[in-house]
Amino acid sequence: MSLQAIAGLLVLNLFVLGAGAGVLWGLRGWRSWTELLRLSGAAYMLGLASLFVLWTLELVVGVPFGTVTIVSTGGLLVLGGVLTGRRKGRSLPRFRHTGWRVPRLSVLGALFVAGIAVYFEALFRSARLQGMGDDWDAWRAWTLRAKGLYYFGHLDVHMPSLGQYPSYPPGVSALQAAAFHAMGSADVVTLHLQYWFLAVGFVGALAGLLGPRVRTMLLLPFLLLMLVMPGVTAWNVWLMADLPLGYFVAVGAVLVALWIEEQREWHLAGATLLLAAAMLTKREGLLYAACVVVAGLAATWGQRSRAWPRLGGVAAVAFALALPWRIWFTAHGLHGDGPESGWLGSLGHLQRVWPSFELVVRTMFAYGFWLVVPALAVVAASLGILTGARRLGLFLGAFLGAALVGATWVIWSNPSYPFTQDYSTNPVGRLTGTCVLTLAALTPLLLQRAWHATQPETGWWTAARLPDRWATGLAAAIVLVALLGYPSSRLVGSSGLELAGALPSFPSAGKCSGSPSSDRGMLVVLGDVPTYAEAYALRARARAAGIRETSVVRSCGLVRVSVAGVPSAAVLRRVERRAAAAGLRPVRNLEARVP
Amino acid sequence: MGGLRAAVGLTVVAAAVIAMAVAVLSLGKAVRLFDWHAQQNGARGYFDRLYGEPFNIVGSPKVLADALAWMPPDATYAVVTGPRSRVERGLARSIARPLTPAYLEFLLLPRRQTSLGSARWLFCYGCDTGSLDRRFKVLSGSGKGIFFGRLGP
Repeated sequence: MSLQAIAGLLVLNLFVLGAGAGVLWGLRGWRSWTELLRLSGAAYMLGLASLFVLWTLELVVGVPFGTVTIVSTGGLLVLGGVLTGRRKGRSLPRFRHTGWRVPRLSVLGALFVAGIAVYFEALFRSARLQGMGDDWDAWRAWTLRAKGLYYFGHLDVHMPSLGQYPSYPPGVSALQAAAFHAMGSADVVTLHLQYWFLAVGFVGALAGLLGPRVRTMLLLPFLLLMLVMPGVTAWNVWLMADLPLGYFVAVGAVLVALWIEEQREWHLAGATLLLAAAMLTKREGLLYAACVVVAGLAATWGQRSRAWPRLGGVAAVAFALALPWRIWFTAHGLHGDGPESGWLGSLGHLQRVWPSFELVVRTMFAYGFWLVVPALAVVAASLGILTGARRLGLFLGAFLGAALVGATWVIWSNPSYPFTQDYSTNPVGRLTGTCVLTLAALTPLLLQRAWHATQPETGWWTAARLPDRWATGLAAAIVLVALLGYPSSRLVGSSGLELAGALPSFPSAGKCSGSPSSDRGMLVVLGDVPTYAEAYALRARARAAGIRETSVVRSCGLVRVSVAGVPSAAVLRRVERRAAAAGLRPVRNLEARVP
Repeated sequence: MGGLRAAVGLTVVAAAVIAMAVAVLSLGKAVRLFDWHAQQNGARGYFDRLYGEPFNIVGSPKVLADALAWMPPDATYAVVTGPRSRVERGLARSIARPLTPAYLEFLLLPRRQTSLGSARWLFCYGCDTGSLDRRFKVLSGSGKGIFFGRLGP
């Protein structure tokens, strides 16, 4: 909860970005540093994915998981990327490539950028001091294992609680443990900010990959729409693995879609890493990676002789990267991730098929979860198939179909799941979330393709514009007002959103809402320590120095050793003298008064 | 063909407008939810934020805080649950579930939860302290049937 913890998280995420830049350099390189800036979100996601893969491998083979391992792994990725780039003959990038200029934002676009900025400011404020109360799966699995990794440095099969979820992949836990190391403690409160960084990285990845290919007035509204979906908003404050899974699958699917269109090999290589990371994030990652591959196969039916071996390679390599984890939990005799009824046993529950499918479809298109995103995705897919973007339209449609079938099978084959949208008893909300994030990422690309295939380059939409200088200035002003307006309103305590005023607080163990005070005389605090053992040792020192009337009381997060009821200034000075002689640092409690 | 172009163009524009409208309308709701969380979080103290939970799984923040202050990082502890009748009615339902040992395990790491035979410290939820075959010194209690203490040799 301290500035130091937040700074540590920032350093960790810059480290992830740096590792990802190394991976990106190896995969595709970049012509200029401005190009890297545009692709920084993608680099972040690739770095995160690569770290998930390597950290899991290290945990499986027994490498102690600590700061040295964490940093070395990132260094390895950078080194690997540099060596690969050198082998491919990449030249050093320039500052900016010829013809580059600062991207211009329209006034309408600026409004959506401002909306996204305010969203992230509000999320940061909320996550910074978020407790663990509602994070059920986090304290029973993800963060429990993360604490185990942080304190013990290895996967522990003996933790009783973890025995309920032994086959949950360790990717998210490893990231959380790395965050603990970066923060310097198992600060499960500030850890919620890690999800803020993940969300920023995800949105940045989509903006960077789709920005050159999709008009801003199609892309920006969908980026904001994706963030404000109630399902996403609710999960952004929980330490669970659902959103990281969704991010990996969505960006992986976008890369596969771009490869289908543009045939650039780095897109497939990047997708391989992301889909492997998805499998190392949640058990459903395997299902959704399969959905992406199946969608790719369906979309490239016409070019299957060339495309299918490559997509098969993606599937094989991604699975191979996730295989060590599967070998590990199988070798340790831990029960796997199959359905309750067994792989074939689900055939004995055929009466659950239709109710499961109906529940999945109803949840997928529920406005209360996902707003209008799935409906717009279906429209976009249809437009794509009707116009020149048939392969993309098929890709989106096949992904949706495969996801519906897969989610139906999950519900159907686990007879203990009641047919309800209550997330505490049925995972249908979370299952559909990954699919919807992917649909939201692909939809603007499809809409752009459909528009481009049927509309001329210029028209009424290009004619109705403010003069460039005015538009640029106004756009910048809008974004600046949003960036400054939200935190400013928080400081002054007036925003119409029930914000409390005052500067941000950084709570610590010693700062409590009420200090102990004495009604009779003055209180002298001899020390605030974290444990009773230290407190009694401190009291023994005080007694040896002649200070008899000491008390030991737990106060907020610390144990306080104090002398209460000091009757006069002379006695006070004597107590302080003796305490100082014993090497203690007495502090007067200013709230008490000498009678 | 011209009709198809127009229809596609209109549909794309309509999709974009709908996305814009819904995004803008939902943004306020999202920010209000975050602000509500921020207000709730801001009103909680340091200890409550780190260790508190709204479902009363642990049963007594006081006992938990004392346990944290007593047990060193390498401590071993056990969680023993006794008959419901020994615990106040309001807490019985929460602690009868297996979640209490699980939540304690999460909160108290790196301290290890073990069986009674190898533990040095003990959480007693409505248990019969007299029936423990090692001397049990109560260090903290909730007054509602929840105790924490040290197990002597």
